Amino acid sequence: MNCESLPLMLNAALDGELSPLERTAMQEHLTNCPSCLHEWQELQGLHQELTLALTSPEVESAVDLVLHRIQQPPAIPQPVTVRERPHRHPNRNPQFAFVAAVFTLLVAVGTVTQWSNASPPVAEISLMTGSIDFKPRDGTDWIVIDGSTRVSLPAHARIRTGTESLCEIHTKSDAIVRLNCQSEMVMHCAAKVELVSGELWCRAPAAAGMEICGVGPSKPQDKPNVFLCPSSTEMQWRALPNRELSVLDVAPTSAEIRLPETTCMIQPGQCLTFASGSPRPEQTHQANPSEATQWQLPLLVLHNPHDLDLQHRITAMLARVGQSKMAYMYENQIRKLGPAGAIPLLAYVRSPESRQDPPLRVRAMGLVTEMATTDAVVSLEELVRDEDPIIAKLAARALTRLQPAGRVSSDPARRVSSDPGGRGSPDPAETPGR
Amino acid sequence: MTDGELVRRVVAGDSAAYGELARHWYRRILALCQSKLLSHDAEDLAQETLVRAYSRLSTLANPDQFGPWLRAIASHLCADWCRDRIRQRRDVAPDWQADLVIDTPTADGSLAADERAIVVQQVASIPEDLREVILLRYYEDLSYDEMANWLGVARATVNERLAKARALLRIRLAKLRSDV
Repeated sequence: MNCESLPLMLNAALDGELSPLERTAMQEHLTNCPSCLHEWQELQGLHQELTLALTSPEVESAVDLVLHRIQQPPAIPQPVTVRERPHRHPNRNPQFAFVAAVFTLLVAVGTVTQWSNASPPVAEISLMTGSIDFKPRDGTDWIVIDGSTRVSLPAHARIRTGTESLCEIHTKSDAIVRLNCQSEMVMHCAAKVELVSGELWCRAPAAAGMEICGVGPSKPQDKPNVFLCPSSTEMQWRALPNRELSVLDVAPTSAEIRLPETTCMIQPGQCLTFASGSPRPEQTHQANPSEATQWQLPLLVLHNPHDLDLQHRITAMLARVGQSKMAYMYENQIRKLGPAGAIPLLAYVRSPESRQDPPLRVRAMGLVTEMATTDAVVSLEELVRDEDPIIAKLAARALTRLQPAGRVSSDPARRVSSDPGGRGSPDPAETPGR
Repeated sequence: MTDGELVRRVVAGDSAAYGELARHWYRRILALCQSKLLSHDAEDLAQETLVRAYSRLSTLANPDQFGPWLRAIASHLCADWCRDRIRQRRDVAPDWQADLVIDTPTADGSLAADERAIVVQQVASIPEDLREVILLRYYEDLSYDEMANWLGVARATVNERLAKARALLRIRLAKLRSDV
């Protein structure tokens, strides 16, 4: 054994990879070679430092998150719709294409209107992100609805969301239903919703309860999953495999759910599972309502980007970004809120409490830089003078993107003129949010 | 139970068996993602890897090759992430993402914690292939044979990489401490 070959052997010894014979040979060499002994001691010191510094990562919480995600409802195959994508043809006459497009649109709108008029509407789709599919009671084809117009729903209308789209439905009885992506439901009447697949959130009206049911029983002797939620309750329902249904109480109060033959108390944050109309106590668990309902954020942003509850939710999501768990996913969720999402983020950046966590504030500002539109110019001009140079730099960068060159100003007197839209509307983020 | 048996159980509908697979492989995937990304997003990508693998498990031709297959998925995700980040940085400030590289064990501000943070920083500064063996060694205490299998290299290469990594870390830490 010589000194040149020793480093590899010392490392292997450190990692417990030497045979007893090799180890004895190494010990003998170290006894006779002070420089190699010094090398060995140094290596042991480094090993000690690395062992202390690189602690084993937390596995259980990560695996829990993975298992939670894989239990999400599976994707629904795309339906056959009445609206077909136009086949592009190089020689197609553009005027003809325009007429054809108008005709197709009229047919689609007419079909929805016709079905909507066939029976009195029981609800209407008030908000949607992306396109959703609609099918009347006796319809055979799905009708694609997209756009911001309100669509009236007749009784027994079936609604289905896509991979990215969500929708909000207001019933005539004043209940609100929000349907998650890749979900399907039937609006039987103003007070009864059937969840076919996926997930929905429902706020029962203040004056009456709301009936929720799952997919019917597979055998005649099975009892149906039908529940009556008391008035003013907020619950989130998820269709599970094997015709089971889970419900999470997302309101801060407990409630009593009525089943056909019994009643069941549910506590805030508690998630109950039902099969064939009976509770499955072994599957009862606690969940975080705020996390469980965060899929609704794109709808809430469309509602009112200045909403305090929304700002709290986004701040909570940012806090999770700061803790690094699922940071990439949470950031992307915030990005998906689109330009309107910049408003609650700006409110956070301008709030006093954000200054207690400078790295998170910078992260939020980075997202603002990507998402902000001209509505945010006044707030951005204020942030150009922020004490944190990174925030100031990011604000300036956002302004450069939003404004023509040379118009970035830190002078408050120029704020009004800096609104390129000329709408004179107050900066939404100026509203004291918290 | 072997990976192959667990994979077959998952494909047959026993999703709980996937928890066992995830627990077994998570640290190795995290080490790979952290060595490639140097970002907190590594944890997300490690989890995303396991989610993607689950959704495509039925396409895995040889269930006994679950580990190498998982490594390929993680590598692709990391490459996508890097491309995505590079694209974003054209529009977004390049300096706002200057976050910590790898979680330090504590943040109590004590000298020991500072020292640990310095060591972590130096681990982050060494080349990617050396960093991965260091993380594998200290995260999971894997044997050379296990590391060689996971990395797809010879056992001697693992020994060499660890020796190189430690030599580099010793030099850099010594220089850093002599400068202070």
